[in-house]
Amino acid sequence: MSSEVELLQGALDLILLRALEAMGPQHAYSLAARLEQVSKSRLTLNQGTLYPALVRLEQNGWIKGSWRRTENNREAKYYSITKAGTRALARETERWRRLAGFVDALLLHEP
Amino acid sequence: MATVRRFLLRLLHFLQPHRAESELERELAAHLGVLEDEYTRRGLTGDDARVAARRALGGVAQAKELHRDARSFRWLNDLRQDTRFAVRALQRAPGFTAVVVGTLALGIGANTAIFSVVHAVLLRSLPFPGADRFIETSGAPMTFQDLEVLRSRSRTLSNLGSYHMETVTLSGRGEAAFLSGVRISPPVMAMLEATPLMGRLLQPRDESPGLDQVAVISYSMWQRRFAADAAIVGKTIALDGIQYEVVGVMRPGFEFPNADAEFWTPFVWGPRIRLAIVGRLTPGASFLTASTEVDELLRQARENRRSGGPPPPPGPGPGPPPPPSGGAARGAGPVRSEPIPARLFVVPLHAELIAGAKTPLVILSAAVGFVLLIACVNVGGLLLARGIRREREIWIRMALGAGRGRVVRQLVTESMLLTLVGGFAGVWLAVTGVRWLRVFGAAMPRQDLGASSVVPRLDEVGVDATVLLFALGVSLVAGLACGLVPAWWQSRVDARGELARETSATAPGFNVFHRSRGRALLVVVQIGLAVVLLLGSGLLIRSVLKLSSVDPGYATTRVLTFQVALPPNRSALRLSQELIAHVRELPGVRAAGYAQHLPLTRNLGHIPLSTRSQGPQSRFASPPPPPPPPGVAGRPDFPVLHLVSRDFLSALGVNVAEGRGFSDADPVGQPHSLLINRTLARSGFVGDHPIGTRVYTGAASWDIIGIVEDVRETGLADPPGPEIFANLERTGVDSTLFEHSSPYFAVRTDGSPTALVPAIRDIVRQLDPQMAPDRIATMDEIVSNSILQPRFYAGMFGLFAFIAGTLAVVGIYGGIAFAVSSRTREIGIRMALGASKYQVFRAIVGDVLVLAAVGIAAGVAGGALLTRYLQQMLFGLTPLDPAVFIAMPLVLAGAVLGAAFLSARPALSVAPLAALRHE
Repeated sequence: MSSEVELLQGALDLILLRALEAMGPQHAYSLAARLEQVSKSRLTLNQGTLYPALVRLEQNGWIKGSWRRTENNREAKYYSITKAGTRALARETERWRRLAGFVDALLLHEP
Repeated sequence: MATVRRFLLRLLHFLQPHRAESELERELAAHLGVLEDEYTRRGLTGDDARVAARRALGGVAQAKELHRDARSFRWLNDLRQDTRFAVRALQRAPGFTAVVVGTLALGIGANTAIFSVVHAVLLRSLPFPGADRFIETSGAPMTFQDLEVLRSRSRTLSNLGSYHMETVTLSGRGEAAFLSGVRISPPVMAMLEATPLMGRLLQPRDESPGLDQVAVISYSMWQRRFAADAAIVGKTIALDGIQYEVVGVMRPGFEFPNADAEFWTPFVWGPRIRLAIVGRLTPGASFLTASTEVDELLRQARENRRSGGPPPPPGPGPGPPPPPSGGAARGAGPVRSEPIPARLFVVPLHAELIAGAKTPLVILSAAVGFVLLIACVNVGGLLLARGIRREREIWIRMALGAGRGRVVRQLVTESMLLTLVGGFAGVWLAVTGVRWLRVFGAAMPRQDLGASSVVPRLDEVGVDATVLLFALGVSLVAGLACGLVPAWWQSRVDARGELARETSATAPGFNVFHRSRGRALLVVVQIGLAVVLLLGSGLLIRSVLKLSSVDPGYATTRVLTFQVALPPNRSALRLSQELIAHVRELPGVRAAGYAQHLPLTRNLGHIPLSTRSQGPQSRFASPPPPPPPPGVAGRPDFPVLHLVSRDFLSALGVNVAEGRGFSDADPVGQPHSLLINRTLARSGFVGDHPIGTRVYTGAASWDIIGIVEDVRETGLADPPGPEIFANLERTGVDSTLFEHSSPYFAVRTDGSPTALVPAIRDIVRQLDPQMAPDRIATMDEIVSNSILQPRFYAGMFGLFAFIAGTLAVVGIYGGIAFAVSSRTREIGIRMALGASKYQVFRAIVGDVLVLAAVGIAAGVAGGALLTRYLQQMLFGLTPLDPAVFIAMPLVLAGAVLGAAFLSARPALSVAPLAALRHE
C-alpha cells in the first residue's frame, strides 16, 4: 500500500505541476475537478491526497499560493506555478520519461 | 535546493504549528464554500447544499492529519504528543512518580558523583598542554648518571630532570611559617609551558651548584606573604635559613604537582639521590619506543660503569671501541656494585600520582554500578506493576488501531521522561555530594597527612561537561533498560482476547508473580546484588574496626602535638629546651617533650648498628648522621634512630618495659644512653640481656639502659620494626638535625589537650615574636588521619550497600503490597472457602521468601567470587571472612522478612464479604 502511494506521489506532483502550468492559477477544488474531467474520471483526488501534495509542492518552492476571490465572491487559495516549478517540471518530466522508457524496455523485451 | 528549503520549512512548522493549522482551517473552509456554491449551482439549496458539500469534502480529520505529516516531521510530532501525554499520566500518579524519580536520582546521582572523581583523578591528564605525553621512569630509581646519559643521548625524550616536594621554614618576614614547595629541574618546569606573571621561570643555568639559590613563588604566596609587592623580583627570602632570590611569580591557578606547592627552586641532583626521572616524549615518540630506548641506554651505561670502562661518547659517530665485557680493565673508574635492574620503562606521569587510588576507585565504581542496577530493576518492577493497572487502556488503544511499535514508543517515552527527571535530580545530588567531599577534604586537621592521600587531585574533582554527558548517557540507557522490557511485555497481548476477560481474574495458585516470571527474576537479581554489596562493605568496615583497634603503643587521647617554625640563626635546641621548660609549668601538663620525628608523620632513615666498634674510619664517625636526603633508602633491617628529648616518650605515653627511661643522670659524653624497643630486643641482635650491653654506631658507643614497648611508626597496619632512641640533649647534636629546623613537640595533658593551645601560643611568642606554633593536632587526629583512606572507602561502600539493601527490601515490600491490594477479591474468596489467616499469609509471603532465599544464596556465591578483589584494602581479614559472610546475609534476610510481614499484614484483616464485593 505504501509503495503504491510513493510511486503515485512522484507522478502526482508532476501531474499537478503540469496542470497548473497549462491551466493557470487554480484553487484546490477546481484543480481536482479539472483533473478528473481531463482524465475522464480515472483520476479522482480526495482531500487526503491533494492537500499533502500541495503542501509538498509549496514547501519545495515550486508552487505559490495566494488568497483571491472566486466568481461567487468566495475567498479561496489559488495556487500558481513558479519559475522554479517550471524548471523542476521540465527536469522531472524528462526523468520520468526516461524511467518509464527504462521500465517499459525491461518489461516488454525478452532478455 | 528544494529539499533544503523543504526541510527548513518542515522544521519551522514543527516548532510553530499554529500558523499552518489556522491556514489549513481557512483553506478547508474555503474549499467547503466553493463546494457549497457548486451544489447550489446544481440545484440544491441552503442547508442541503451545505450538507452535501460537507459529505463531498470527506474525511476532514484524516486530511488534516496527512497534511500535518507532510508539512512537519511525523516522528517529532509523535514525540511531542507522547511527551505531553506522559507528563499528564505521571502527574496523575504523583506517589509513583516520586518513588521512581527518587530511586533513579539515588542511583544516577551516586554513579555521577563517583564518575566525576574517577574522571578527574584517573582519566584526565594533568591540566597542562600536552600532559598526556609527560613521562616518568619506572622499574628502578635513577641516579644522576642515568640522567646525564638520557639527557645527552635520548632521542625520544626531552625536558628530562626530576622533582620532589619538601617543606621548609620561611623566615625573615614577619612570623616564621612552614611552606610546601618543590625542588624541580628547570627543563621539567619548562615543559609545563606556563608563563610567569612576573619575572622568569627557572632556567637550565640555575641547575649549577652555586647558582641554584633562586626561587619562583606562587601567586597565592605572593599575595598572602608579600602583600603583592610589585617589586618582589630580586628580593631575597630565607628558606630554612638559606637566602634565595625571588626571580619570578607564577600566575594564579598554576599548580604543580598539586595545590600545596608555594615555591619552586632548582633541583640539583646529588650523588646519593635516587629518584624517578621525569620528562616529555618528543614528537613522534611513543611510550613504547621511549621505554625501549631508555632500557637500552641505561642498561648499556650501567654495564659500562660496572666493567669500569669509560662510557661511550655521546651522540653517534665513531669513538673508542667499547671496553671488553667481563671486567678485565678494572681500576679506571670507581668500582660500583650497581645491580642491573629489571626492565626499565616509561609511564605517563600521572600514573604514579594516582597509583594508590586506582584500585579502590575502580572497586567503588563497580559498587555504585550495582546500586544503579538495583535501582533500575526496582523501577522496572514498578513500571511493570503500574503497567498491569493500565492494561485496559493499552488494549483499547491497540484495538483502536495503534500499532505495537507506537504503544511501545509511548511507554518508553514515559520511562525516559522519568529517568531524565531522575537523572536531573541525581546530578543535583552528585553536585552536592562532590561539594561535600571537597569541603571534607579541605577541613582536615594536618592537611599534609590528610585528604590528598585518600583521593589525589581532589581539588580537580568537579561536575563538568564530561560528567554531565555521562549522567545524560546513564539516564538514557537506564530509561531504555527500565522501560523497554515492560513496554514490550505489555503490548504483546492479543487485544481482543484480553479485553473480553475480566481484569482481576483469578488464576490457579495464588502467586504474587502470576503471569510474571520476569518479576520473580528481578527479585532474585536485586537481592543477590544487594548481598554482594553488603558483604563487601561488611569486610571493609570490619577491616577498619580492626585497624582502629590496633594498639599503637602510644597514648592517643590527651596528647597535643605541634611544630614551631624557628627563625634562622637561633639554636633550635636551646629554644626547644626553653619552650618545653615553660610548657611544663602550665597547669594540667603531665609531661612534655620534643623530638626529631613524630609517629605516623614521615619517612625515616635507618642507622647501621653494631655490637662492635667500627673504628674511626667508618662513615659514621660521629653520631648521628643527618636525616637522609629524599630517595635514599637505608637497609630495612637496621634499626631506625629516634632523637628525643628526655620526657618525649612519656609525653607520648610510651611505656618503658624494662630498665629505665632517660633522666638527668645520663652522662653527657660517650658512651651515651640508649633505649631500644621490644622488637630489637627480641631479635637477639644485641644479645639475650640487652640492658647494660654496649653497642656502636660507627665509632660512637652507647649503653642500653632500657627497653620500651613497640610503637606503630609508619602506619597502624605496618608491624613495628627495630628502633633505638637517643636523648638529643645529651648527644651533642645541633640544629641541622631537625628537618627544616623544627622539632615536633608533644604534650601530655590531664584535661583536654586543645585547651592548652592559647597558652602555648603565648609562650612561643614570648620566646621570640617571630615564632608561632604550627601544625597543631592531637595525637588522636593524627592517628585517625593515618587511616583516612580505609575509613573513607569503607564509609562509601557502606553507604552504597545500605542504599542497595534498602532499595531491594523496599522493592519487595512494594511488590507484595501491590499484589495484596490487587488480589483482595481473591483473598476474600480463599478465606470464605475456609483458608485460615495463617494459610493465606503463608501463601502470599511464602514464594517471596523462597525467591529471597535464592537471591541470598546467589549473592553469597557471587560475593565469594568477587570479594577477592578487595584483598588489598583489607586488614586483618581474609576476603572470605566467615563472620561477615554469616552476618550480612542474615541481616538482609531479616529485613526481607520484616518487609514481607509488614506488607502482607493487611491481607489478614480482609473481611471476606467486603473483599468479594471489591472490584
